[in-house]
Amino acid sequence: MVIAVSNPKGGSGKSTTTLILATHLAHVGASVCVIDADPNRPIQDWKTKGKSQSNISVIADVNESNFFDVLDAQISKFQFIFVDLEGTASFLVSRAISAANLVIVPVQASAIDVRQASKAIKIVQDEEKAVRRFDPSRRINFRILITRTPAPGAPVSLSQRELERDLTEAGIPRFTNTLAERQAFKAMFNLRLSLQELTGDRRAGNLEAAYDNVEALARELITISSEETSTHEQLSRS
Amino acid sequence: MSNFLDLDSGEAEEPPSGSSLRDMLAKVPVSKPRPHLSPDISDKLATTHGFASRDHSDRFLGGIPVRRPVRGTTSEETKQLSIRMPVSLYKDFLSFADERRLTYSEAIRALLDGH
Repeated sequence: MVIAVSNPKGGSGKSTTTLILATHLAHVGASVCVIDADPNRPIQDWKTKGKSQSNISVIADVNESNFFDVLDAQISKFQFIFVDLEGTASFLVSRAISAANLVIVPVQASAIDVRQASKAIKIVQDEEKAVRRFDPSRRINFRILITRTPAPGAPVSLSQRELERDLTEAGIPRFTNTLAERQAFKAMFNLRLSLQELTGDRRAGNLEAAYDNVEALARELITISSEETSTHEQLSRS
Repeated sequence: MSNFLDLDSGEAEEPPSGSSLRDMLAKVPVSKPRPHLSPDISDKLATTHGFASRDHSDRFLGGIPVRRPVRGTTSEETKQLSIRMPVSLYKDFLSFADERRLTYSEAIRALLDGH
């Protein structure tokens, strides 16, 4: 399954989402590749400059010209291929979206993030229409993922409640789980370790809560993945 | 008012509970190659949404970033030249310089010497 993580707005949590999900899925036994298409190469740096034993495969040096070739070379080797995209509206982003089974759109509860997310969603919908002209069974699903939310039990901001209401009213699909603002997620990048490798490190904060958050999110992702696969098979047969 | 009202609707679903993540993963197949949308069509669509090319791959040769050679020291006085030209000529000139790993002034020299 090719999962593009995209929002033209920078700082929305794309790389954090990618790293957290990719390392967690790999930890529980999935074969996972990350195509780091962000020019800042945050995931590539995490992998090459850190000491993590996580077995995710990371590929960088992708551009508009070679993206499809890079993807084709990896696609049959992995259950999950994440594409961590740059925070700009580029052709590389649109091409990656066109090749994805699922687009995760991380969004913080802010007006700017929401506007940019709308931009990402509109292009997903148009790219899907275009790919279905030559493959009617093809779908490009998308899900909004609300990021940097308060920990469960903490007060939810008015802007987050408004965002959730807007999404519901507009029928925009989203992860029912959010990605909370957690010390452990920051520590993953700072220390270049997976969540599991942070065990015992006080800089990770409430590791158990972070683990629960990622576990719930990963379960939801796999559920979406399974549904996408079965829908595609049904449409292919019909 | 919703920020998403002009978008097509989708469907949300509830994740199941009970089975372990490893069990769920065991049912996820390895990805399959699929035909890609023509880059021309994708780019045309993207342009209508305000997306643009940010590719600098013409600065790469065989996947290896081209490092423009450090300008050689010269005892000769230098002057700045700013030229406006058609985009096609601009691209051709940059390609010419990159392929030969020349600085722009060296490329101009090579072109002049060719005549």
